[in-house]
Parts: sequence; structure tokens; C-alpha cells
Amino acid sequence: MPLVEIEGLRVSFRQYGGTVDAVRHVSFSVNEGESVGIVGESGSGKSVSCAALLRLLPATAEVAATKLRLDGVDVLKANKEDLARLRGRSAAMIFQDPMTAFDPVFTIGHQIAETIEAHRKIGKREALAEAEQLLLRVEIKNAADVLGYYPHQLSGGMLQRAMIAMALSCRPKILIADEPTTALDVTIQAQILQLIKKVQAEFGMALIMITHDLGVIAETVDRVVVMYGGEIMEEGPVTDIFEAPKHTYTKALLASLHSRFEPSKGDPDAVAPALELRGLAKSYHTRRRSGFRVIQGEFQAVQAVDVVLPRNRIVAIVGESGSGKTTTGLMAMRLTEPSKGQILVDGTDISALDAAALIPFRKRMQIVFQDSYSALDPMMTLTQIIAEPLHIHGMGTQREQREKALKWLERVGLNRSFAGRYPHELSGGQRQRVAIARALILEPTVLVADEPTSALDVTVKAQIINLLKDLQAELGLSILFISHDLSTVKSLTDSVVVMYRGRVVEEAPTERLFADPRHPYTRALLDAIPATNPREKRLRTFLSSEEIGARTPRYTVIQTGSAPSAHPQLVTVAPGHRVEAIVTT
Amino acid sequence: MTNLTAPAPIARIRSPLWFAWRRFLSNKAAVVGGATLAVLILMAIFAPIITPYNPEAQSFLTEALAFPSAQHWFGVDNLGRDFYSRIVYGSRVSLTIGFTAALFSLLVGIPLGALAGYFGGRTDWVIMRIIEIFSVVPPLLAALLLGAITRGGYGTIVFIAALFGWVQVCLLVRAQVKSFREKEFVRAAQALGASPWYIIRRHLIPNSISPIIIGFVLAIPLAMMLEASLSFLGVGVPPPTPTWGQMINEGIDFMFFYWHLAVFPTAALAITVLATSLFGDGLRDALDPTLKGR
Repeated sequence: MPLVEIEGLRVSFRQYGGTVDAVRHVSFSVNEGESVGIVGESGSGKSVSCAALLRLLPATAEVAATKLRLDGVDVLKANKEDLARLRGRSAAMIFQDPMTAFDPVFTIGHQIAETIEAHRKIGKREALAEAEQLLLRVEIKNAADVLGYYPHQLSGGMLQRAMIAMALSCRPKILIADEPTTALDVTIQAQILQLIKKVQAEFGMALIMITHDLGVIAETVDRVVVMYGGEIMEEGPVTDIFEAPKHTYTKALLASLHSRFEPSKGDPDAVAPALELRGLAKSYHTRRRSGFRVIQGEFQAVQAVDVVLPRNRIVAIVGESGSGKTTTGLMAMRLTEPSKGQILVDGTDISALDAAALIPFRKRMQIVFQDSYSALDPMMTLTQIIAEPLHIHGMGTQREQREKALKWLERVGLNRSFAGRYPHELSGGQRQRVAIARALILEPTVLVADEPTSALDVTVKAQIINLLKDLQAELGLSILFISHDLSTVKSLTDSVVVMYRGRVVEEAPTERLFADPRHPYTRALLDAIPATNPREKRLRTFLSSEEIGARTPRYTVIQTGSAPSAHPQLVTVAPGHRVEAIVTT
Repeated sequence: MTNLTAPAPIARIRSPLWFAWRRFLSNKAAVVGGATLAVLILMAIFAPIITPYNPEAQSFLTEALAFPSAQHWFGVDNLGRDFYSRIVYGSRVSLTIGFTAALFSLLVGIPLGALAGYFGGRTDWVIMRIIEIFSVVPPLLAALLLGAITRGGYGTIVFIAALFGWVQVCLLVRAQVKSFREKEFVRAAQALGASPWYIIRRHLIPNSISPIIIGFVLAIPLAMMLEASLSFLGVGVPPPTPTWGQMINEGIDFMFFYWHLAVFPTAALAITVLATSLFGDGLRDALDPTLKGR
């Protein structure tokens, strides 16, 4: 008998004056030890289906099904005790955002031990000992210390590991992972996915992987359920779905996975680059109190970065969170004051200009942020938001501003009827389009795009990338595209700058970087990109930061022509390809 | 209102105010509160028309302390004045003091709160210290002192109420501005070259609309109560001008035998405060476009 049986599931939500069907006619089953992936965009009902299985839906939801069984228990008829047993022992869940899944006021150890005690008659001390064992199982090396840590002391990746440990604490028969890696960097994502596969094999669990990313599916599961608009579109073994997709939606999803290199159009005017950062650095003063003394320290967020953004080109800055890529972008926009260095816009240094002198340059450079929700003023209509730059610079009458805003609304692919709407009524992708329209309405020459696609679904991500590409060609823009994911920048950018711990470690034309990465960190980033085909899935090895440091490439003076030094320096290894290396004699 | 040549029937674009009105109407309590408030304001404006007697004339000394009857709806007070007329005229003082004081609180509180929240640092420090001075002094004591020096009166009460009312508004606005200052739409406006003043005016204050309304609504009853307390203590609006506070003060002496002298002014004050709170609540929800779904 299958572990999970769902047949004819229908979930509807009561709303003001009516009900909305979130999920219709959903049927699938999961056998013991099997891994099933549910893939679909946000709002397709994939999470709702699994929440219905554990009866975790809010009271406004109405669940109906001809069969809804978990571990042989009819979930719809289950009483409180049955449910408590089901949640935890039969099925455990891990969530997208580990930061909010843990209670910030209790230690990790306390929270894991609490779960163990809730399900088994066991003493506090034994529960803690077991929690430590579990943390070791999820490859947390300093497990004994982590037990005493509070959630904010751990990174996202570590927290997700702790979350998995907590889910494992009751030896569930099935693990439901709801977008477990969406909030994480690519390198961490690859590690977490590998870990989930490992513990699944060790504990002999079944797995339901809910995600919008086909790469994650290719890496982890045997069977796929494709959902769209609350219904199942397609179901089958993972290789069949990838090699012979039947449904158009599946095909579109797969298409977004395969991207090609596409150089930008237009000449890179040789006169002066659109934006050049020269030795730009940012350090923060830190103060630590030890007894009566205050220890002054300095934290180098970004160390003397040189980036050149030629006209009509798209350059990516890639790195993990904390690598200083966003700080660099903000400094380039003069939104964060640099500690040292120059920012040249069309050959003019703007790093020392005051607010008034900066205004003409403000028209020429714009920024798009990652979080499209907080990037738009919730109290303003879309027309007001898009027309704001014109309003600030006092360009045109109110009517002209409105007309131009409406034109841009269409230009970024939104209907004119959206004009009077508010940001909260839009989806993430639509909001990002509005943010792009606002940034480009002044027709700037430089656009800094700070992870504009990281919070979006794959299909929407591809649309936004295409939009940026089209607008770049039309307007002759130069874009500095900041991202943590090399696969996103592949089809968009002309060259890539890889940042690691506040330094540029490698810089090369996109195609060359993908073909011949020299720095170990770049290789790690490339290796972490999820497979685009289930046949390519493989076991990965991950480098620690010490290993990356130890594997810094070495070149001789003859090879590079640079002076030898014990410290790593950027050396040119091919035209336009620079890499951080140690030069020896 | 959009392109006339567009072939597709574009849904009529409603103005944000239309939606705000719809949201307001859907909140029954707020509508009732608003209507009550409107009636009270009309009562205050047309007091001479709707009252049968002069509120200050002691025309019914022989019937002093009479209970409510068909002739005297709210009875007669201890000095032989028609109590209904006095209550209606009292609304003039209470309402004007309440609203002007609340308005002044906003005028002082919003800019100071926005400045403190946006700039932080030294500006914030100075404004916070000023607020602390006002929060450690008991308002009634200070009001008594000021009232005694200036011998009370209308202007003094408005001044005192505003003096202590703005603190609340300022703190609410500051907290809101502080949390919104870090939002990316503010960053985006900075990137566009907007001045701090522009950002405060166009982004931060509209986004603080709910704390502003809460502050406003809280300040009104506060000022009315202050007027009532001061009049009650004898340094408020001097008699014979009728005010609700004064009437409550006098009514207390007779409360156990002539209930109407205490009940009617208290009820008038309570109804006004309640109506303002309900109305303000509805207004806050109506002005928040994220609640459009209603």
C-alpha cells in the first residue's frame, strides 16, 4: 500500500463573497522510499496540496477528496491525537525560509529537543544528546556548540541543516520539503540538496520535493508531478518528463532551463566606458567592548575593486551572499558612501560630488532591486510610481508625465488597465516590471540590477531577463547585473566578474568563464549549478573556504609578466581574462 | 480617461478616492461613528436654532433641579438653566477644543517625528530628549500650573492640549518613518536624486497615514478630557460659558439625588469620544489601499 494516497483532492478558500478553488482534481501517490517532485510556479497549488495532506491549512480552507490517506490513516477523518502522530512521525516538513521556521528566542538545541520530547517519553538530557547526534548526521561539524546557538547566530544554510535535523528527529516515513533551497545561494543549495538525498537514503524515507526549479527536480527525484493553475498537467518518471515532455507548460519550463550565450548588440564605444569603478573599497568601523576597553576594528566589506562596464554591454557581478557584490552596486550608485576609490561615469569622477552636483548623474544611472515588494511604495498607484522620476526632476506637465508612464507600462509588457492599481495587487514578476519601468523612464545610460530575478519563479525569471535584454538593445543601456547564480547570467551578460569575500577573484568574458574557469571559487560556483538533465546528476564535493584559499592558482613571472608576491594578485591570463593568483618566480 | 482609440473595452479606471469611499462604507461602525460626529458638529453649529432657551439665563429658578420632562428634555440644573440647551452649547467648546488641539498636535508632531525618524543621529537625539521632558511632566499638573498663570480660558486649553498631544503623534510617526526609511523604494527615490524633504513628503508621510490618524483620534478625546478636567478643577473655560467638563464637575455634587446633572454631560462626552474613535478607525482602513480587496 502506498504511503501517501491522494485522489480527487479539491481545496477551496472562502473569501469575501465566494470561494476560490486553489486545487482541483489532484491525485497522486507516493510509495515508501520513493522521491516525488512537485513542480509548478507560485500559486499553482503545489504547497497547498501538501499542506492539505497534513491538515495544516487555515480555517478558511475547505478540503474535499475521495481519498486522502497518509500512512494508512484517513487524514480527513483523523482526530487530534492521530494528527499529532501523523505530523512528525509519519511526515515531517521543511520550509523555504529557515529564518522564520525557527523561534528566535530559543536555542536550536532546545527546539530540536522539544520536538523529540513531544513525540517520545524521554528525558531532557537524552533528548539533547539525541539532538546533537542528529546535528552530526546533517553534517554540522560543531554540533555541540550549535545546540546552544540561537537561530540568528547561524547562516541560512546552517539553519536549513538544523531544520532538516529537526524534521528527522521523529524518524518520519516521509519528508516533505517545500522549496527548501529557494532562499539560499547556489553553492549552499547544491550542498543542501545533496544532504537531503543522503539522509533520505540513510533513514529510508520517502521524499516529496516541492519546487519551482526543474534543476532541483533533476537533482533529487525519481518521479515528477507537474502542476499548473491548481491542476496536475503531467506526471511521470523524471527522465521521461525531461526528454519527452507532453504538456506545453512543461515544455516552457524546460525551455527556461536551457539558455545560450547571446552577446549584446551595439558597439562598445571606445571613448570612455559607461561606468568604471577604480579601486573602490568599503570598510566599516567595528567597536567591541571587552571589559572597560573598547576595541576599535575595521571590517573590509569590499577591498579595492576595479570593474569596467563598457557602453552597450552587460557585465555581471557574481558571488555568494556576503561577498560584497551588493555593496559594490550601491557604492557605484552613490547610495552607500565608498571609503576609497573612484566612480567614473562617462569619464567623470562622481565619488566626491555633493547631492546637488550629483543630480545630473542621477538621471543617467538607475537601480533595480531584488525585493520588488519593498521597492515600490505601497501607497502609490503604478502610474504614480512609474512617473515618479519625471516628477522628481520636474519634467513635463502632469498629463505628459502620466502619458509617458502609461507608455512605459506597455513597454515593459503590462496592460494600460493596470495604471490605477497598487503594487500589492501584482505578482512578483509584474512588480519587477514596474520597477524596471521606473528605472528606465529617464532613459539612463547605466542600470545597476541588484539580483532582480532572485525572488522569482524560473519562467518569470526568463521573461524578466528577456525584457532586460530587449530594453538594453533598444536603449543602448549598459547594465551591471548583480547575481549569486552563474546560470542566470549565462544568457544575459557579456562578461562576468566573480567576487569572493570582498575581492574580485576572476573576471572574464562570459563564454570564456564558463569554458575555462581558473579560480577554485569560480569552479565551485559553476559546479553548484543544478543539472539540466536527470542523467547528469552526480555526487559533488564541496570546498571549504580554507581549501579555496589553498587552491589559489599559481603562475610564474614569465607566464604573467607581473611582479612576484606572496599575496594573491589579479593577473591577466588571456585577453580580458583576469584571475586572482599567487605569482612565483 | 485613457486612449480613446483603444479598441478593447478598458475597465473604467476608478480613482483611489472612490475605492477609499467604498472601503469606508463597508465598515458599518465607522459609518455610524461618522454620522454621529456629523450630527454633533451640526448641533454645535446650529445651536441657537435647535435650543428653545438661552443656556446662560437662569429662567427657571423656581424649577431648579427638575428632572427631565417634555418641556425640559434633560431637566433643569441647580441654577435654573435649561440643561438641554447647555449640553448643546457645551458641544461647541468641547468639539472645537478637541479638533483644534488635535490639529495642532499633528502640525507639530508629524514634521518632528518625520525628521527624527528620517535623519536619526543628532536630530533624533535632540527631539527624543524634548519628548522625554514632556513625558516626565504629568500633563494635568503642568496644565494646572499654566492654567493658573494664564487664568485659564479657551486659548490656554488648546495650547496645553497641543503641547502634550504632539508627543504621541511624534513617537508614532517617528517609529513608522524609521521602519520605512530602510525600504528599497526610499533607496530608489534617493537613486533618482530626490531630496530628503521630497522623500519625507511624498513617501514617508503617506505611508505613516495610519499612525497619524491613530494619533489624531487619540489626541481629540485627550484634549476634551483635559478641558473637562481643567474645567472640573476650576481653571478651564470660565463660567457661565457652558462646557461639558464644567457640567460634569457641577453634576457630581448632585449625582446621588439628581442623576440627570451628571449623566447627560458624561454621556455627551462619551458619545463624542466613541464616535471619533470609530470614525478614525474606519478612515484609517479606508486610506490604506492594501485593503482594497474588501
